[in-house]
Amino acid sequence: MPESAWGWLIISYLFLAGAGSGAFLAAVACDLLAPDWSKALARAGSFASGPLVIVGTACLVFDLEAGFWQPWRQIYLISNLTSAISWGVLILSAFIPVALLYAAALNEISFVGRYAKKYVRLLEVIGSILAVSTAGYTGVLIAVVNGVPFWNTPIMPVLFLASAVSTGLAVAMIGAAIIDISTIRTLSNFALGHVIFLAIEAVVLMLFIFTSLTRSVEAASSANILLSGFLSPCFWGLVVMVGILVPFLLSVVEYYEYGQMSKYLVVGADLCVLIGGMSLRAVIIFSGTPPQIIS
Amino acid sequence: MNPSFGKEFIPLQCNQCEDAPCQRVCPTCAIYTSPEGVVLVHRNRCVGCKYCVEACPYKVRTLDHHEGIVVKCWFCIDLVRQGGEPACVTTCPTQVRIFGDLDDPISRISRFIAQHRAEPLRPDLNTRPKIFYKRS
Repeated sequence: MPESAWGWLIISYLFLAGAGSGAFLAAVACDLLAPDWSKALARAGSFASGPLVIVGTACLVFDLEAGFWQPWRQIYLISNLTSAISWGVLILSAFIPVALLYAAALNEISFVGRYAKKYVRLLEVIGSILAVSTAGYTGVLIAVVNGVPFWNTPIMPVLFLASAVSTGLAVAMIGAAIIDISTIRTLSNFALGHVIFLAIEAVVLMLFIFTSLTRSVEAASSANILLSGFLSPCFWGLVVMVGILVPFLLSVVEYYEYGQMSKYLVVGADLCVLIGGMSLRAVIIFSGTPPQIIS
Repeated sequence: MNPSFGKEFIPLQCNQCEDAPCQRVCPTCAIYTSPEGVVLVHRNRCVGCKYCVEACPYKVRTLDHHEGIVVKCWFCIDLVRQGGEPACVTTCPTQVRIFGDLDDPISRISRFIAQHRAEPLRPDLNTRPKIFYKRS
């Protein structure tokens, strides 16, 4: 089993930052496109976005060692602009306040929300750019790593962005069901979103695995750990079946049965997407094999 | 065709890369190259994010959990600055290690590399490693 210096905290961060920025994008799309009777999804998505990214960032800080015990060292984190982490710190520091302001605006929380509501379109534009940057950057973070050839591909940010959008939509849909269970019928409108985004995610995942099989010996050995190695139960079971196939089929049914599907199945499909998103990051981190130094 | 097996022992340490990936990815600029060309860690700047551990293709960086920072081979820079050699070179019982100035074409190490066509490990990774191996 290849050993990674990064573990569950970083995996959680990759997942939470993706889901949080995806929820923001889902909220913006819903606020702009959906009719008034289904605004619960926009409210839920915006409400979940900031806190998810904050918890994700906290995971990142907990993973530090000296920087955790001596937090003043964290000021150095933005000193190297050739490092993806420095960029990430800047993007997260910009995205979190915008996401919180947007949540306040859509949910009309206190005077801040009433004030922010005046600039809601501006928040949507800036926030969407930052959300795409946050989700994409989680992929760039590991794509620029020379030490793990499996991650070292430009498909990585695309895959993480695709997964962020589908997990974000799932978060917003679960949130909408929690805020107002009567909206569960209207959620069928967004099932089409799941169908589209899960299909895109599946295609990108396939591209990633297929190209990895031929890119280099090390990338192929990582890909084989997923396809037939010790992580294959997690990959085929959690990422492919639970994460993509089951919610895809459920969403197709949900879209055609329009509001007739049991609420447990509607929310269940979203939970499946979340489990798949987390598992995807976990199997990618845990299957990373270093270059073969001695040939 | 029969499969062929071989066994080889290769001591591995920080390759003091000229284009060090660890240095490029360090967000706090805690990793720097000394004037002598040795890659060093600034112990007061390192936050322990472990990005360099992932980035190093030779996987020769380790974490000092007590201090919470990443540590690596520093080529015994304090001994070298006093005119000595790294401890691994002086203590090796079979004297397989040669230490010296790669920039000086007539140094013992430069002549040894030229004579035996010694090569670094995985030069194709483009990190320009500075440890050369003479392998039979």
